[in-house]
Amino acid sequence: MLSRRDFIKGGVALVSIGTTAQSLLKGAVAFAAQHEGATNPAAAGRILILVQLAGGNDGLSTVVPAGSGAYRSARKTLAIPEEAVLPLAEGYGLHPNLAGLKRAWDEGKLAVVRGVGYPNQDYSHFKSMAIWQAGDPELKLDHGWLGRTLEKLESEQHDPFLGFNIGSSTPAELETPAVSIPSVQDPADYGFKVRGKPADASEPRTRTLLKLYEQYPAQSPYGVLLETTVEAAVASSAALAEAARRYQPAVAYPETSFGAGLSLLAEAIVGGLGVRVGHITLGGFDTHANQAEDHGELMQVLDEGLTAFQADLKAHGRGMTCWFSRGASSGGGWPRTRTGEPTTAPAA
Amino acid sequence: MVDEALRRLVDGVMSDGARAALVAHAESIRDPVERAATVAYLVLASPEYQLA
Repeated sequence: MLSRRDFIKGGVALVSIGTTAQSLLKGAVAFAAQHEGATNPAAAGRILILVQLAGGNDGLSTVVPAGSGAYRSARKTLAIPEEAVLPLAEGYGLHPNLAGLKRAWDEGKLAVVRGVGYPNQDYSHFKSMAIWQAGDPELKLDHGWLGRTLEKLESEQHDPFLGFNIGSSTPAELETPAVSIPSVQDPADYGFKVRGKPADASEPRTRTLLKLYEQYPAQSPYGVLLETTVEAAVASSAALAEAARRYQPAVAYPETSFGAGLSLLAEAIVGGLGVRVGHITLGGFDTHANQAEDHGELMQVLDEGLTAFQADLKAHGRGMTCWFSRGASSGGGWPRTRTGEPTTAPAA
Repeated sequence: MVDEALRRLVDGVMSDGARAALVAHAESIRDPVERAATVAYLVLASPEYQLA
């Protein structure tokens, strides 16, 4: 018998899909076509994975100017000793907990982009975030900078997972009204369920639900959007489940939410869902007085996750090049990683 | 049961085609509790309720 808990969970799952997987019908159709034997050209292409270190990562404790007297003077208690950093180049090194990324550097698969910013920097943390999210110092452009990128990609390729966000809501940099971007925190919760188990489009209740949306007058406000949303939600959740069935991680990911999120990204990439832009957030960088201890732990979480991700993709025939780039906000910074063919000279 | 759920949840507003689909699905469920829960779920998940 259906329990009250199952009933509520089923309803919540639907609402969750409705708010995160908007009109994806075109992509769902394209996905279905690909799985009838067609080759997905995007699967062989390059993919951008953006890892946002939310809360304002301390860039100077990530890529450390260990040889700088100014650094030591400004960071009297927090400066990382020069002998502790993992040397990159003259005067610079990585945080000691980034050993995996140091290996990537030694293999020519890590780049550091320094001095990223914009003229006349605004010292408001919020405005700086808005500028970075829009990719526009004057804040005149609409939508997020990755959202605009996806708009362009959408004109070339339709896939439900063209943009794929790991999380419960779409980050501002990914926002665009033209492309729907699934935001998935836990694949087990992304889909229709009956009695707590995933239900596909052939399940009777789901079929009836789809009929209710088919019958809704298309000329009504949001009528087309609603119908395509629910159809696309069914299709994309089925696609994700199919990708999960085909994917076996080649390495053991760290048992952190960040590691689980990266594993899900790898699953979508390896499963050929057509991901071109992936986004994942590692939070907790607003460390305040706990900077010394917490930042070190976060660096380790980041390093272990990215190292596993790289090894997994490599085992599945995908290379990965990783960039560290400091952000627009005064204290912010994040690494940008991109998967694709291995390169030693990353493009801008 | 379907009409009562529609009356209580969406002021009875639903197209004839959608209502027919709802009735057909309800009649396929033998367990009365599960039938009631399913009808409630479908009405709550319907576009009529979601936009109300």
